[in-house]
Amino acid sequence: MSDRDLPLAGHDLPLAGHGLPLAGLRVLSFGNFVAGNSFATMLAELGADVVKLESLQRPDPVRMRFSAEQKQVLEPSGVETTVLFGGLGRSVRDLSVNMKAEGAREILLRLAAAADVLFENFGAGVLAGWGADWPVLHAVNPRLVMVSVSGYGRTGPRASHLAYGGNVCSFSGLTYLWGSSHGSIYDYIAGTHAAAATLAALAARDRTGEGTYIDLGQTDVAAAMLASLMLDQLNGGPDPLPPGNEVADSWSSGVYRCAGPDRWVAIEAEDARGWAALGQLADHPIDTPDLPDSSVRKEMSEAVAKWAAKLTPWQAARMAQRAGVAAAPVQDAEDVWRDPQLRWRRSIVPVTHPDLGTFEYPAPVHRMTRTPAAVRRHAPRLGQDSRAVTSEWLGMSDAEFADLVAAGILGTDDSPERPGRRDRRDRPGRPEQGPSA
Amino acid sequence: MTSNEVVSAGPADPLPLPPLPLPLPLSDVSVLDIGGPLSAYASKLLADFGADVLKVEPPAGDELRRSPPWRGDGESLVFAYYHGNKRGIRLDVSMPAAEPLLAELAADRDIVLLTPSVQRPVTGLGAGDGRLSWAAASAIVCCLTPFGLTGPLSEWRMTPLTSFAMSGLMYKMGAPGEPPAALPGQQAWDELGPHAVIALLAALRAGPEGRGQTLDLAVHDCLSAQDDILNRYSVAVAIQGREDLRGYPPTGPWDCRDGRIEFQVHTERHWAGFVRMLDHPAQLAAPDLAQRLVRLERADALRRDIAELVADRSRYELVAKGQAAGVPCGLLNTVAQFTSDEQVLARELLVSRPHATLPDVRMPGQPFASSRPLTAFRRPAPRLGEHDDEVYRLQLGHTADDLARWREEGLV
Repeated sequence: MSDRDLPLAGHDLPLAGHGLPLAGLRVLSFGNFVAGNSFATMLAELGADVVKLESLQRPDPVRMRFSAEQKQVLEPSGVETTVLFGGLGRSVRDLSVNMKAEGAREILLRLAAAADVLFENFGAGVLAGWGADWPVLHAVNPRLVMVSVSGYGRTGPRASHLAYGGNVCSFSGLTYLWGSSHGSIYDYIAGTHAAAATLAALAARDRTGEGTYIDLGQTDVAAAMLASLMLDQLNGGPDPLPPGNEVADSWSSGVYRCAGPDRWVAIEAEDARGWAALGQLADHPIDTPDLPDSSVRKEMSEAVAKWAAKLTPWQAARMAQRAGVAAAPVQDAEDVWRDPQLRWRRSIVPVTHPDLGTFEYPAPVHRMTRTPAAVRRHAPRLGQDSRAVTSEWLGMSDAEFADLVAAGILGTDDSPERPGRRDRRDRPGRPEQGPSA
Repeated sequence: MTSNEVVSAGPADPLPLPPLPLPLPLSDVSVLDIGGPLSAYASKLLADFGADVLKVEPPAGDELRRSPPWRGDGESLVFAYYHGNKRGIRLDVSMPAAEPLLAELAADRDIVLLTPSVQRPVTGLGAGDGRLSWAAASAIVCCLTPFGLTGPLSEWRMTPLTSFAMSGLMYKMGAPGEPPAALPGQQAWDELGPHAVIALLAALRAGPEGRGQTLDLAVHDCLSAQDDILNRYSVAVAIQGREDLRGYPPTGPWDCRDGRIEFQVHTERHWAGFVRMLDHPAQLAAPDLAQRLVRLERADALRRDIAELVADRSRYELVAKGQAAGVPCGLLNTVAQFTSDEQVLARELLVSRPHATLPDVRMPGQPFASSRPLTAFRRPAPRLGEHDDEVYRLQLGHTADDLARWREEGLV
């Protein structure tokens, strides 16, 4: 370990400037909701100059509260912001451009000509409607990598379908197998796959000079993540039934009630050794030479349930761990906030925002001893960096900038106009792909 | 970097390899993967993007070889899915005697992937600093673990089930009053795969400054960062439990005559579309039903009415009609319904791949479409020890006697 290396963990993440690995990379992001913002923030915290494109007329929907009980927070320009956006929008810069205004397309094409990556997760056809889809952008900048993230992908008979996160989860078979719909699982996973594919496409671009268009459907990614549950059916087997809390190839697995209100522990004995240890622990050893059948597994589960019921989740998990059996408390949000491992690793960081105040967020997960990801700044105010980005990327003069602001094409964070307020009763919960399609 | 070694289709090769269409993105990157199931998806992504991945298995074989479903003579389809495009050799990486061989194997590798744990230690791994004594000075050492290399829980034994339990995500899932619901499959661990690729490709992009360092990636960091668990608690100091996820009707799942459908009806526009989709039935005529709170108040009666209205309909027809009317809706599929859906077929999401001993295996392909190929299929997953001879003897110059001795010692 040389002196320029950072210790592994248990330290605060360094602030910007410590050799961020993607320094010099320019990313334009029309990304909104979870997939778009998490993509943008991940690359920004690894050092890319990520410019988020919004407008007073079309702010990112996660800037708006889900419910009227939440306190409304406004930026000085009158635009709303939220703690959710404060986490999802971290470390990026923000340029306000009204794509509906005449002349906005030209600004977008100038920005795209100066960028390495352009990301969007609007509904189908939005960029084409602006005259700025892949063929146009590729002609303007052959080196550009463009990424679209959508519910079902941009081709095929369902390409134009409106999809919320829950729909993606349900379409792919996960809701059926899980017995539960989840609005926000493949949006995060789509964001990471999109970022991985983008960096691969940039590696190809650096050699060939040619950018790539990546069309990533959340349901495409779901298929990859669900592969182990699909392979049997795909190769002549039956349509699988929901597995419940049983892990297919484990000797014993389950989620057991512990002492206390709604307290639970997850325990899994993967093999014969774990099975024997679990039997000892629950004071109910069962000798069996091979993977036990379901009635024997049930007998073991009942013994484990009886044993766990008298313990707290942490007691049960720690005893099982000592016996060499995989186990963990089923943590709720407060447990995660207090989690000893996350606190020890400084995986929870406070971020101060000028309008929101200070809240705790997950730290960047890409821990490296020389080029670690870092929180570079609080989430931007809308239009906060319009002047700086147009100057640095386009060499735009003060006079031209002022003209474009006056023409309603560009905006700044002190633009006097207030955006049209939306009807709160009409606000969706956690959409992936807004009603813009 | 080493050149990408594509083994030529010699006369003895039962499976001639298709020619590479283009230089793949990572065709100049080489990877040594000595990890278990936790690094399988990361190295699959790297291999599919064109990296030369050498997978090192314990002499008894990788855990995923024992993972169902199986075909033929106990061949795991899961292993076939995760380990295509890689070559495979055997070596017990926990034995100190393996260090000289590991040093030879890693000599020109850009990346070493490992999943160290108490149960599966890696010889030569520095306890506190994540350095590998035998890796090349320029190698990026990428450790994928449930909790990270350090910290009070770093030695815990974990599985995808227990990782999901710990993350805060499981507690909210499942029916009220029922146990929290495990996420099926091994997604909870596979989520680390794209994160590893992101960090590795970022480090490679950084040039010399990105080399010779350790990546310490933890499942727990990644999962607990999702779903705003922390900031929601931070703001509202509220704990979300397992709630009735059906919410205000018609949002949620419904039974049609040919399967299930799911509606997401949130805005007044969505509701208007929903009523139009069902041809303006009298039961849904009250104008105040456009408001979600009103629908919540009358949820029981509404659920009965809507269940009746959709029960005899075709879900395919309703989805088409609903989408045309601006209603976010979609199919709630079983696996077989998903894998035969026209969208999945049109996007060629599922592909058939050759296998060393089985007929072609159907599996998910590249998880996105692209204007030019960013991935390619080059070889099926290796048989156990398939490349022992090629790597130890032909590449590293050891003798058949050496190999026999190592096998005797349980090293290979």
